[in-house]
Amino acid sequence: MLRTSLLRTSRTAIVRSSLQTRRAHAISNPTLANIEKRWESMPPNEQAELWMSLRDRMKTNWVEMTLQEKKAAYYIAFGAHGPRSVTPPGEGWKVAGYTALGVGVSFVIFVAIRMAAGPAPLTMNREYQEATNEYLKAQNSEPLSGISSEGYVGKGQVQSSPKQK
Amino acid sequence: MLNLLSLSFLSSCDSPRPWGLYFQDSATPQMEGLVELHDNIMFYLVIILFGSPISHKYLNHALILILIAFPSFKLLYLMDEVSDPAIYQYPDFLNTEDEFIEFDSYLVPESDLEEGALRMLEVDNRVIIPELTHVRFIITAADVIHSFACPALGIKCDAYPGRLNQVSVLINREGVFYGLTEQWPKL
Repeated sequence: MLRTSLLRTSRTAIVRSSLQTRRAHAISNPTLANIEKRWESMPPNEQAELWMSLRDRMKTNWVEMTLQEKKAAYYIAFGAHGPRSVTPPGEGWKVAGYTALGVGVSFVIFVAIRMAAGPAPLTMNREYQEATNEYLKAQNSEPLSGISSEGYVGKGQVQSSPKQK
Repeated sequence: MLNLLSLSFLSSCDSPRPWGLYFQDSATPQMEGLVELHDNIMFYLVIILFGSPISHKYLNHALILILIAFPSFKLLYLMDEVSDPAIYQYPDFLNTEDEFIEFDSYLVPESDLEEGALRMLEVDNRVIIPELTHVRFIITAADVIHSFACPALGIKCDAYPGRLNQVSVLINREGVFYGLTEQWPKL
């Protein structure tokens, strides 16, 4: 029992170590040089190939990896490419421009709707609103801090310009 | 500027006022509770926003949530409590012809407003209720979902067809309190 399990463990260990040695050839430096510059222009199959070989290298002891390999593996995994790529110059201005355009268009729509709207309600003039103030005072509205309170000096309901004759 | 702030934003009323940002004058204890809760929460928000060294050191999020949640729940359950109303109901009173008091109250259209009356708030028959008496409103709707709300009394209650909702108030001063539905399929 013990013997068989020991045997099995040693056998798998041998297989694993042979696998590791088979893939443990360091990738040549020229292949990895300037990977930051070349990565995005590389054809996809080359990218895949390079990444697979780097992945195999990462299955060995990382101490054995060359500095170039470590840098390349880090760049491919976490570097500024694809969704993490650096924003191209002028992007901020583009965003600001489109936002301003959107705001402008909505302002035009707003003005158009305002122009198509009917006249303001009959209550929207100074005379009516002054009458409203008297009306509210007569029924003692807002007695604590509002229009009917002692020493009130505000405008009450008045917010519009006088009625145009 | 300070004058403008204090007049425009902080003045309160029984009726809405132009550009008003604060509450109407309260007329019930529960509205006072609501205003106080609002002010408390605003205090914590100001501390969080502008007093970050203090809040980072002494207030963590859970503590702030607890400080907000406990008064909030307390107020919620206090308001939810329907006190025993006075024993009278509206139909208990008779008018001069010995008929039950029963009436419709509709919004006054803009064309019929008398000078100075509040547009879209004025009704043809006002509901008259006693002050310093526990009053219970029983609210329902006939067609779609409406709502019964009166800011100065601190009540807002949805009105559903086929369902009775109730809210109670204790009005502690005389006044005319305007309210409006807060659901907008129609008034």
